[in-house]
Amino acid sequence: MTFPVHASPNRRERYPHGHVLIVEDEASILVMLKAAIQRAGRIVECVARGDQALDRITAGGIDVVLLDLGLPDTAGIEVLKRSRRDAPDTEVIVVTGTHDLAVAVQALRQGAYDYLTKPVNLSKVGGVVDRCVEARTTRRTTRLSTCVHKIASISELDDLPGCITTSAVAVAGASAASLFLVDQDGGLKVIETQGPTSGQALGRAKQVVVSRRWHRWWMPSESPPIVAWPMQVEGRIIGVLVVEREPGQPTFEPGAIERLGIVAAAGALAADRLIKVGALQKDVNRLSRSR
Amino acid sequence: MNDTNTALVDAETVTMLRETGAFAEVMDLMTRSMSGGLDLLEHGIATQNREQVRRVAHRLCGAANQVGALRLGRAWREVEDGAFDLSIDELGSGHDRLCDLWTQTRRVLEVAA
Repeated sequence: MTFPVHASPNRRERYPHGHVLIVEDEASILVMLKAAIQRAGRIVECVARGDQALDRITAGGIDVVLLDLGLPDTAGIEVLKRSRRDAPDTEVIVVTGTHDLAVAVQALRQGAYDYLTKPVNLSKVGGVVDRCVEARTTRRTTRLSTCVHKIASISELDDLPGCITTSAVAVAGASAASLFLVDQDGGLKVIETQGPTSGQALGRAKQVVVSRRWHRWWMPSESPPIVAWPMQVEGRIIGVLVVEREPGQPTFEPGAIERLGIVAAAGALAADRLIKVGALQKDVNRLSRSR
Repeated sequence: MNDTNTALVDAETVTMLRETGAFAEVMDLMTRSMSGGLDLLEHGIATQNREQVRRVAHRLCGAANQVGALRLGRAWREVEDGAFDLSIDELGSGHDRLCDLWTQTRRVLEVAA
């Protein structure tokens, strides 16, 4: 099996520091938080309003949001809820006044990672963000490991396609996944679909087979966002795994594409193993009949 | 609304702020925020728009406390808490006190910067 070289570029080069969005309407507080978090080595963006925050979060690429719950335009808790719904991989740390702790409890129940009270201790905020980034990375890694383990544990070929597409949706944060099988003539046959597909999956899978490489690595403006990965065994493409997000959702970030590639590789390995097992079983059956 | 027991400025917070390297920028923004906030407060009191009074007091209480301006933060907090309960005259006194406190606090912070 070959694995495209672009599938696992150096993670540190692409995500050197973690990307933090600060949502705070008071400019002086915003500048202080920004300076403290930048000192901790993170890349920082800032917005002052809830609607701007949601636009930026759904555009993708934000690892952690530091969200003031007392925004003037939108209730901070509403921004949190929509962020959790539209960008579940983005963690949120809420910032609140000491007399608003009931709101902080509500925020934690709505999926906030942690909370900070005002005035924010500038010497500690970097550490809180660090822990949040680490927790997020660990959760993703665990989810990927679980999926790969499940795929590798499948013992019946019929169960494999469903497991691959479910895993692809989970690790890439996709709304749909399709698995195509390449027949001996190079034709494609869809064998499994999860979620609502746009109808572009087949076209993209064909491009993969024709070009004999993954497609596409990076298309920031593509809508709906769609990525296809070849499943290869000993240099031969045996299938194509395609994931999609709904129109208007952020494009797949490099990390998601990388995780999809790992699922595709695990799926190809499992398929190869199960096909060999099936062939061996047939031989065993034939031999036992001939005796 | 008198609180001479609270320190005017918290030295530890000021030190932390200086270490971020953003003190000058923060002071500039703080000056603009306080100046605009005091105008908004005065307008809110004059038009008896108590929600405006509460909102601006809430925002600037947070800003003052974040730079370690403890006495100023506390005074803003008193205005926020009393936005719907204090008389207009009491809120007017609160505004005057905030103006004095901001002048004193600013002087200390500028020296610290």
